[in-house]
Amino acid sequence: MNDTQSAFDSEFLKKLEYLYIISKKIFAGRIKADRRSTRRGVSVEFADYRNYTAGDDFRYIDWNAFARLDELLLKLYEEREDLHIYFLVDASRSMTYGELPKLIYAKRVAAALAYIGLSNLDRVSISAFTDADANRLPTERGKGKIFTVLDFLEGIDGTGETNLEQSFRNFVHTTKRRGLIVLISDLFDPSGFAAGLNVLKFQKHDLFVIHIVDEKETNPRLLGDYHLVDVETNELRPVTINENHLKRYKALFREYCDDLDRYCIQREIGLVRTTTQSPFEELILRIFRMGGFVS
Amino acid sequence: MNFLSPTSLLLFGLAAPIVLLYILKLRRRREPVSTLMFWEQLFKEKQTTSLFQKLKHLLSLLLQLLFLALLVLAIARPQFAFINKAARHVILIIDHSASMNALESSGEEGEANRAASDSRLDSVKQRALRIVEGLRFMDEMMVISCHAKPTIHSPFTNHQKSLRQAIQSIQPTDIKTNLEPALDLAYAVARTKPSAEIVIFSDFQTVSEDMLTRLQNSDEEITLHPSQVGAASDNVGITQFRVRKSLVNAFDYQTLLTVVNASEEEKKCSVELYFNEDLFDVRPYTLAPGESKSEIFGNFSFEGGQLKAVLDVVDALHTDNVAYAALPKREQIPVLLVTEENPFLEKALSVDENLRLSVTTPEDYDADATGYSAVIFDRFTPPTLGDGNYMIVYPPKTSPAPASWEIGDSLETPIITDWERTHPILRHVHLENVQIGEAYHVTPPATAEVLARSFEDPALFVDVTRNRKIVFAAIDILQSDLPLRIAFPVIIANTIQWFQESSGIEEYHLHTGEVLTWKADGDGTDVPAIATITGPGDQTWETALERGEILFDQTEIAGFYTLKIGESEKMWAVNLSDETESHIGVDAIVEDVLTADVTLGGSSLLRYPPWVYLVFLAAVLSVVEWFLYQRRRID
Repeated sequence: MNDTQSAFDSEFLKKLEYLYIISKKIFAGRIKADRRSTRRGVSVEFADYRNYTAGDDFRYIDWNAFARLDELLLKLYEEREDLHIYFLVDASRSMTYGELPKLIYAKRVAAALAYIGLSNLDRVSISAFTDADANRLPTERGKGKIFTVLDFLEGIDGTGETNLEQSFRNFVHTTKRRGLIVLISDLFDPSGFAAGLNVLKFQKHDLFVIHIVDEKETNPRLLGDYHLVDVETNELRPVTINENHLKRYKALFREYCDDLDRYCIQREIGLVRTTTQSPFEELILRIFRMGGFVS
Repeated sequence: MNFLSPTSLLLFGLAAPIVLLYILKLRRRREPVSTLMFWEQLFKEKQTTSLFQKLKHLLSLLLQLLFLALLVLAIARPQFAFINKAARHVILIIDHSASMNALESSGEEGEANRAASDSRLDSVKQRALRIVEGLRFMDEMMVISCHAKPTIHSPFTNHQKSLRQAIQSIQPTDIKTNLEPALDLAYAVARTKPSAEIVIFSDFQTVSEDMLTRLQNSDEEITLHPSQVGAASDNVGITQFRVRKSLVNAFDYQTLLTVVNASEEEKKCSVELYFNEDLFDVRPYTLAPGESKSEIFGNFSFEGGQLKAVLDVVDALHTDNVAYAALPKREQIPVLLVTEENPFLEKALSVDENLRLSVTTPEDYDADATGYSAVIFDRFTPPTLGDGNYMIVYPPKTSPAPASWEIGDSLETPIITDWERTHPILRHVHLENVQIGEAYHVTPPATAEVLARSFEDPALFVDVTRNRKIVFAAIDILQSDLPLRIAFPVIIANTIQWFQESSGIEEYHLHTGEVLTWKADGDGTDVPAIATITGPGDQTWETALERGEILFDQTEIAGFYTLKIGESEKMWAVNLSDETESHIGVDAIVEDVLTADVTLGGSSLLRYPPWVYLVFLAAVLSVVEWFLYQRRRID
């Protein structure tokens, strides 16, 4: 990663506030710190009926309905809860690739989304993962915690290799509370992305994937003799690349992306793909336009 | 093996940088990528062993070195002794005489398609071009065309384009065939070259015994390929069409027309006669196989123009179906009469409308008879007699003779006792019982011919020398009754005709290929230096006069040739007029010694010089190298 580049400069902070204002416009009328949960619980908003079963709280029996129907029906209310948002930021060395390193881009996206979450009084947790370990920011709440978040993100370095399955297993073992997981990664795992995402999905987390790629990865302009160096493993691969190879590479990359799209659609996982050449605020706005993280 | 450019072999030094570039390891650029998983997937299917890689790279080097070697050898232009020894020197003789204009197709279908078919010359050109195509790079060829005389169109060369152009430049002519000068020329050239071969393309229309022997027994060192073209075909032709002076009247013309049927079946045809392109007569002919018919036309009412005879028949050879003749203009003959007074002579001369008579007295005669076709001296002896035609009638005894005759004493009883009835001057003349008052004894020159005698004494004699004709009368016609007889004007007219006999119109009739000559009067200083000759098809030549003379030999096509010098014009009719050219069949004896087509043989691999093959191989190698390079990229 380019050390001279800072993820959060003053310009970024201005954009952060701007994005927050935009988000308020988009989600105007919604109750702060409230987020509708898919689970049923205790609140003031009626959701549904169900038959009474032994052990249910008598307080929720609809006696009016019993009087009319002579049947014990339990009133169900939408449960209101504090939303836990877990930002999983890929901190492998592959994220340091690019003129604007993908990791910096990922940090900015995470910071922006976390700021909006904190402003909405959601509980925000950030985890930077590699194959070896995970550096984690405990759950924070409130707008004032943004600098803690930024400090944490600033401290993330791109080290280690990518092993999504291993990293996510470690995450779910240490995170019992279900919530919204925002995964920010390039997903370049030699063993594939599916095994890792399955781990998160099987734990009933809501999952949103932000797939960050670099322009040089989607459309490499390499012709001739090269020693390709894997930035994660430092492995050398002598190759002679011609036009046909480039065509084939692009086809493979497109195939990989298509597989990811298909996987996410089938499992109702939100997915957005961006390149580092696209301004991060546009990505945020795109997410807002999509209606947020809940699919 | 030798090299034409051995210094080019120094270019082999370019192998050093090639090897050096090969030894220098290719330094690959390091390019970081976020993951190798796509590249690994891309390249994993075609992993090759490092040994094969090394071999392949070595092969690439060898191909490059071989490519360089081939190019350097090509630039050095290798020469092989065995190839040079095998070089041939081919002398190609193409007959383009009149009979070669015959169209190739024959029979009923042939007649219908003749307009679109090729002539024998076209066919020969195609064969010749095929021979040029088959020449090997070291072979050289000379192209000679011939009709009556040979013309070299291309000297020895192996440049095929030049040879093709030389062959294509041979144009059809209307000249009769004579192969011998061309064969003599070819042999003379062939003897100076090793491995010489002579190829003759002709229809062998006229082959003499000597020529036949030469065709059969070719030189041991020179191979002769006589190749015959064309087959026997129907033809009717005009073999004579010319104008001459009438035998009975020097002031009239006669035209001789001969038509021959050179077919093997009877032919009916007609000859259309045109004067200045206006049809004035049609003569039908029925000709048995091989028959020729001649006809003489006379008493033309017109004069001074173009006569053309067109044979109305469809046959193989069109050239002999048209003939041309120039009909001269009848001009009055200028005659000078020098006399004191002789009404009989003056009357006899003035009644002839063909004469333009001038009369002068001896006193006024200035001894210059230039411009007169005939001068008649009546009882007067000129001081000198130059070239010309003179009639001297009873000159005075005392005058010195300008020529070698001697006048003696008067005859006592002159009477015509004998005369030459067959001589043109005395034709249709009877001189019996002519009363003569005065005559004298004369001793004629030794070269003289006595036409009339009075016993032993000549009464009338003629003396013909190279440029002078003299008619001498030793009788005083005024002292005789001869002017009162019919014989008198006849003798005068006959004498004028006899004077004109030497000036014919033959000079205005030529065979194709003959040299048209014209000479100015005097030393030629008063005529323009450049003359214009207009031939058939309005083709025009500018020709310079040398010493007042023109020699023009490009009379290759039959037709009218008009010579224009200053304001004056003269016209010649040029005709093929050769019966042998009209017989377009092939002599069976000649056919036995001929070959239908000529194949020179030789390996087609030697069509191009070695350097071409070397460059071709180098090009193939470069393609192979390119392919391998591409493969290496794929791997």
